[in-house]
Amino acid sequence: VSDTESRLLKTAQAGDPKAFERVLRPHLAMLFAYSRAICGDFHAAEDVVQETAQIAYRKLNYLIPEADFAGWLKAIARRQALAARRSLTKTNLVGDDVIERVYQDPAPATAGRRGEALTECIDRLEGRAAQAVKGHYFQGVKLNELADKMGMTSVAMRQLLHRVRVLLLECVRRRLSVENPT
Amino acid sequence: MRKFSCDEARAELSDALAGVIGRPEANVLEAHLLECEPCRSLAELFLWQDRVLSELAAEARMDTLMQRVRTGLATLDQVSIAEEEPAVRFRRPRSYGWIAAAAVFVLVVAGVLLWKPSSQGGALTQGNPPEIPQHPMVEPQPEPEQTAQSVPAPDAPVPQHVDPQPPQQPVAAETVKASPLPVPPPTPEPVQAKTDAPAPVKSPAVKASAGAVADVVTPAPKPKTPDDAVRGAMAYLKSKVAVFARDSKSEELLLWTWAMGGVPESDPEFQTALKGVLEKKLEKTYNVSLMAMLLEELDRVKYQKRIAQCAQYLLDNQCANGQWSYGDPSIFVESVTVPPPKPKAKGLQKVAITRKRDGPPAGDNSNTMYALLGLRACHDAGIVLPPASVELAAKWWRDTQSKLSPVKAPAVAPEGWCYSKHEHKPYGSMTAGGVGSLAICDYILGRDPKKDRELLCGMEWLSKNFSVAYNPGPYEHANFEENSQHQVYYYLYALERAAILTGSEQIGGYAWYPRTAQSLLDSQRPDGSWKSPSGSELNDTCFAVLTLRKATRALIDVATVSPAKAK
Repeated sequence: VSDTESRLLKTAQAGDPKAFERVLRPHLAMLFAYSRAICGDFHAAEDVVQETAQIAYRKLNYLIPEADFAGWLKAIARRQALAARRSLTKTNLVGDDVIERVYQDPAPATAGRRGEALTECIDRLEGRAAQAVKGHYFQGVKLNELADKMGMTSVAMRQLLHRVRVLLLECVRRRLSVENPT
Repeated sequence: MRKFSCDEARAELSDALAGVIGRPEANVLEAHLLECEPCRSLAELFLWQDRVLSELAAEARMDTLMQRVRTGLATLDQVSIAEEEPAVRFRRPRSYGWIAAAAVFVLVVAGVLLWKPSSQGGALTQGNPPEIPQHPMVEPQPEPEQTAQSVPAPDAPVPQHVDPQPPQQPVAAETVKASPLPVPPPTPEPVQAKTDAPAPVKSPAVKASAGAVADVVTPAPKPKTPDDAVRGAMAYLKSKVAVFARDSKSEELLLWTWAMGGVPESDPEFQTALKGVLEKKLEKTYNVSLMAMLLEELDRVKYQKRIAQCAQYLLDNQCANGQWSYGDPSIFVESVTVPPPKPKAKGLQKVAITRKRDGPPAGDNSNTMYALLGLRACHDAGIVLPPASVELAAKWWRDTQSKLSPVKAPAVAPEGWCYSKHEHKPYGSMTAGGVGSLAICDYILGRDPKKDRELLCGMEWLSKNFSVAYNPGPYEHANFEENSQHQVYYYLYALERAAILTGSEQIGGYAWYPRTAQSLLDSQRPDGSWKSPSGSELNDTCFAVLTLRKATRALIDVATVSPAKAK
């Protein structure tokens, strides 16, 4: 916990919602992504983030000074996201242990060189691939609706997304290997 | 079970990440990922990509998200918490817990005294005949049908009448009643969170007057919470002290339940019962195991010698095949010595115990699961157990797991256990007990439970057959009645242990605790007790309380932590 974060947390614990917003802000993107990974729904993940903020603010005085704030938020989000997943009757998507490993570090995934490389690769997407990524990831459009919109069958849409994933992986691998051939 | 090739698994992986995978495919995928390292790595890479994409999406919508946060903070009272607040799981802070527990005890006693004159049909005025013992002199037998009355609740039946179901307790408007079939609920899980400190209670007198007014003003009574249920059960158990005292075989279970239910150690009745237990000869596996658990919880330093004696008893009673039976006294218990603690020594001193004699050839899985709970407590109290004994126990569970699925090893398939090595199909109480037992063996032996195939298969069985309303599977001591109520509370306590000892918040995609708690709230009888058709009222009530209280401690090695730090 940085000095700034612990100072803001103390102020927030004293009942200042503005301080709480400031201390929460750097973790919101991670919380959203994490919640989405668990509950598998863009809009439900937004709800989870809101609920997480509410619960965390209400329970802020239970947070011990040496505790990891981001980890604590994640734990709250996890419970709310699991509840959301149940209410959406979604199944366990890829295994909770895989999710936990990928989200072990609460720091933004976009920050490291690998994250930057992926961001660059995403920016280079074109045509249907870009359309699918934008619609699914950035606008939260359901896959079958997106398929309708793009004049595709939902099976074709799922295959397209799979190909985009593989493409992005390959793009990142190439970029990183160019930078560091060893 | 169907299996995926790697190509199929990778395509399904994408569907899973897109949230469009069906449950059967998800199960097959999960099994594939467990055994295929390259696909598991790909799953992590895909998920990491998704993380980056979702974080970018969130950054792009940060204004919207922040606005939602602000709106949320302005409407704080409208959020429902799905489950209990997450917190780093520490050992129960005894000093504060005792203060709270003392407060509860005072209120419970006050409640008992004040209820007595007015309650109708309550425990204190019922005048029911004592439930236990029915035939306490029955000695251990190889077959459970003849040994059912031993303590705490062997997984065996006693022919009894089936009590009529109690009237349903009122539940909160937002709650969802536990369904007998594991269908995902349309709303978030219902049950109010368990908190370490009991919720404040009004005195019964205040309750009564408030209730009278409430009856006029609002027709819906206040919903019951796990704390309310435990308070009711504690009052019931307090009223049955004489029954427990007469049947000394049950005292360890009662004390363990009191300790978990918030009765302070300083309570006079607790003290009397504890004194009796400490002076008692170590005779039966269930009792010795529960005694070790109790003493380790109360003060593992102060009672280390007695805990070491429990360990000696348990080691000396292990059967040749790795199981435990009802047990017999061991003469080697008295010769156990524990060196006095060194003045400046930090932490818990280690005491090595070795097996001094062989037990009988075979036992049963009910005694075995409790023996391992006892050995876990001994391990946590600094008793060094011979690995060979723990290995032998683990081997028993591994060798006797059912092998009904056509899937070849090492794939994870739903497999379980019955009461012993029979050809019977597995059922809930024994399978949950088996999972917990293997988790304990792995813990003591320092192995990774996530790589324990038999444990994973057991969890898979519990997932496929998940239920909080009945003991799933064919109960072998009641004509193989499927999904029956027999020993359902014994099963729920075993399920609690399986979940906590494997660190699972979900079983079969269901949050086990809220569902279990709701089911227990629904089935509690008006006098605060629980009872299954073939169970004992007192034992079932204890099991229900232990389940509601999540009495099992997660597997964290406390023996290496100094007591002061642990507290």
